[in-house]
Amino acid sequence: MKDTNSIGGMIKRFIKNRNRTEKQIAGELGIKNTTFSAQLNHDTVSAETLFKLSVLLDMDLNWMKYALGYHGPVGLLEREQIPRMQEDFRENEREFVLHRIDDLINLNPESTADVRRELLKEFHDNMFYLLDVLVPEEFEIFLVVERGKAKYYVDTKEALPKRMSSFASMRNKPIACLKDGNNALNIVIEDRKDELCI
Amino acid sequence: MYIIFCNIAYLRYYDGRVAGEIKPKTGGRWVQENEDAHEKWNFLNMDGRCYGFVRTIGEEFHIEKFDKKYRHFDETNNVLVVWCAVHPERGTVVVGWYENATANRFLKEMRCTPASGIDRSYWFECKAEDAYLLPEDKRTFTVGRAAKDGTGKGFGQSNVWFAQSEYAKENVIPDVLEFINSHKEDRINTLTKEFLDTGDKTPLTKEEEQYANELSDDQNLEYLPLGYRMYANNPTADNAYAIAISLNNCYQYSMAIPWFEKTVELDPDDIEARGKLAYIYQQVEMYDKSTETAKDLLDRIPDEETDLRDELHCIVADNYYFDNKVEEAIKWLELVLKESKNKDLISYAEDMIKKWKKLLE
Repeated sequence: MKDTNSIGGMIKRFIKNRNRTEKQIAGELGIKNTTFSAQLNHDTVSAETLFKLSVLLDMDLNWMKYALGYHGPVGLLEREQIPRMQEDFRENEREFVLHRIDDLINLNPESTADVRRELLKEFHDNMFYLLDVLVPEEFEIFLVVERGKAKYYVDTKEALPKRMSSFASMRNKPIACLKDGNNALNIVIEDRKDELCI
Repeated sequence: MYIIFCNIAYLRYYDGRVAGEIKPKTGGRWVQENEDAHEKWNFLNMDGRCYGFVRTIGEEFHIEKFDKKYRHFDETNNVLVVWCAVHPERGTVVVGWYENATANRFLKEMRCTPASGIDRSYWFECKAEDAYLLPEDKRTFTVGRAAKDGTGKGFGQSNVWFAQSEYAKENVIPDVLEFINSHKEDRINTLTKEFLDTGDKTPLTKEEEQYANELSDDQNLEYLPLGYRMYANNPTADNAYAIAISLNNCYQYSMAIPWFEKTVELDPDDIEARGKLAYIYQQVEMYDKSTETAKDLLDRIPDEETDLRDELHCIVADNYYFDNKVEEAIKWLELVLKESKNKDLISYAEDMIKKWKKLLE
């Protein structure tokens, strides 16, 4: 889903989620529909248009920044908690993603890992978007950058292991006690398999 | 050789994984209850060894039941631990075993650091090569239950059975030994040799490079042989780090350490790798090296990074504490009191200092 990997694509998803059309939005922006459509397809939306869209479509630009992989440097032993998407947006996106998961499960009933890999391929490795859509809202998602690669972790708010080194609980929960993105997606897929009785 | 039968929860893999594992009865997959938190790792190859837990042994495992000569010992070797679990249809079956295991009188705690995040205790341990976990379709040897089959013919109320009745000695033990000997080739647990560098330095083909790049973060075993070859032909910090992380993710800390060390040698500015090293050294109880790494990091990071400095001060304090150097440990906590801006941490450090000072009295 190229949508989830580009600004233009993400805007299209918001338009769809808000039950609007590109033509309607173009009209409200005062732009020709063909021009607007081209901007979305070629990812050439201007900053001003983006700000106007954030109001028209109630888009959380801060969230979108992370969803599209724009984040600042994150340092040693530090991680950045990233915002979750708006609930109504998630509900629609979740339904869409779950349909894809169901199809992939039917194609790969024996291997959760294969379902996960295919799902990530379809969504252009946008781990954050998938986690944000699929992981329960009450959990937190964190970003850590390791040698230039962004990695995402889910904090399920479980208590730290009792015998964790004394001071770990006083600072950020150690990465090893968070669920990494792959693990989190595995859980979602396994739970979905149970629902589908596979 | 001594033999002990242990009854644990029925799982598929016993290596802590979620994918493909049986749905837990309580807590769900996101937040798992801790009751069986220890035995679910019984066949995890952790730094070349497996560690076994079974519930409700009590405060002490009476190893003198193997032989009275052990009544004053805290451990005994040469134990065959036969792991059993209740299959939904077959009843209590053998799921695997440890050969040449050490049985401990008292429950041992594994160091739990942010490197592993695993809080576990164990009664038994063996080399990973001496652990045998059977696939589900081979778990066919049933072990009796005293309540159903008669006294001395199986597990009683306890989860451990020494099988010392005449019936067990003449029937069960010979049969289980025969079963074990005929099923050694069936094991599915991961052996240490699978993580090793074979020494193959053949450059990767384009297809292999593409394959390696497409592997996901959890395909560590698939990555390692390619990673070693990539490093052999291109010894960069990135390639060393990729191997280090793969080994780390496979819980092979002792193997990962030299690769993290290579990473920082090749890229002295890689603070993240140094940070990981500090915790990994702590995990394998190399406290001096962990402290040395943390102190080195403290010299590299600016004073304004108070959160990071707090973390490093605490790592060093923990190291001294674990190493029974409580006075030194307290000095490092006092640095936290002096420099930290984290009120919760300061308050916690104050309490910890009071506790640790009592140990010195």
